[in-house]
Amino acid sequence: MMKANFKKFLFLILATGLVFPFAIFAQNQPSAENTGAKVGIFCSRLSELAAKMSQRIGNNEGKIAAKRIERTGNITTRRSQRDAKLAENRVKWDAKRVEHYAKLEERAATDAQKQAVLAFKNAVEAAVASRKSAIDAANQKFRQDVDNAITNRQIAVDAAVGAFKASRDAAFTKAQTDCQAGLNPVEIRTALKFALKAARDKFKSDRQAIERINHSVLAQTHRQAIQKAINDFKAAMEKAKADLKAAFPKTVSTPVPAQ
Amino acid sequence: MANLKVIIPIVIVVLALIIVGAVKFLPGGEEWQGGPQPTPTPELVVPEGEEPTVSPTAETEATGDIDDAVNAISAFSTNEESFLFGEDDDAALITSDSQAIGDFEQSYDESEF
Repeated sequence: MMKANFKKFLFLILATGLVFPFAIFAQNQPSAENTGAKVGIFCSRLSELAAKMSQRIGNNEGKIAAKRIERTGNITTRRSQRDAKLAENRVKWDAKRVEHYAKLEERAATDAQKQAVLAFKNAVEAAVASRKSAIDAANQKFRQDVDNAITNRQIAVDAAVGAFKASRDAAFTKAQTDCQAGLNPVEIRTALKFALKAARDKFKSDRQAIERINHSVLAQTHRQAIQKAINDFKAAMEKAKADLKAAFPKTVSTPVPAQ
Repeated sequence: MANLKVIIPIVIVVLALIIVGAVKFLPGGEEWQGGPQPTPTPELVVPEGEEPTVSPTAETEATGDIDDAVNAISAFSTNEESFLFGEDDDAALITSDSQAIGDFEQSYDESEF
């Protein structure tokens, strides 16, 4: 009895040892999808595959183009809105200053005070003009920098897309030639896939290089220029105020807190 | 009979309370809070990146006071700053096509081959 069981066990071990390697081998063989019909008709499907890919490229190029149009529209709208606000604020500002100058002139009793008001007015107008021109220059430079960055990005993206399309064309042309020469379809397909993958990888690396460009420095430069214009204006206003106050030592009353 | 002497004052007090309550709380009464409530004035929402054009300080009437004049003139400058710094946000639009560029990578679909 024991001997019979041992024989059965031995048989099972041997059978497993024989079947297992074949099973593994079978798994590593090309699937039916990769061989036979599909590979056989690969060359006849080549133009269809090329057309499908072209269509997808066209659609994706269309999406990029649409985003560009959208961006241009957004930037144009935002700039014109800001320009309108800036102009509106400046018109009100100009009018308001005239009112304040007139009131100060009314209160100037002596020639010295009238001269001081005139000097104040000139100093403020010079500070305002200087501020306006510094801000306008900073805005203009920033906008030019943004436009240049967009143009450069567009050129770089177009070059990457162009390189991808050229590689794609070359890969399909070679596959077509190889098919016509009657080469092995499996090898043709493998080579085509390899070439297309390389083209995609190249595009990916080009895109990553494009995305690595840091545009925040443009905003930072603009911000610094605006801040400088503001600080210069504030300093000029403080000086103008101090000079004017010196000429009106007692005429300008400030409320005295109740004791 | 003795009961009536107790019940009548109680009834009178209860009636008085009802009348007072009706006067105060029924529609038209002092404490009336039912019915349509006045619609609260919606809070003024300033769209992102937008600021009021002119600040209250800037609108201050000219008085001839030096500090008032300088403050009002400076307020216009401060008011302008809000949309001057808003310009910086446009730098973010440079890369607004990133997604579309990334999607281009999908032009090659390996599974079709």
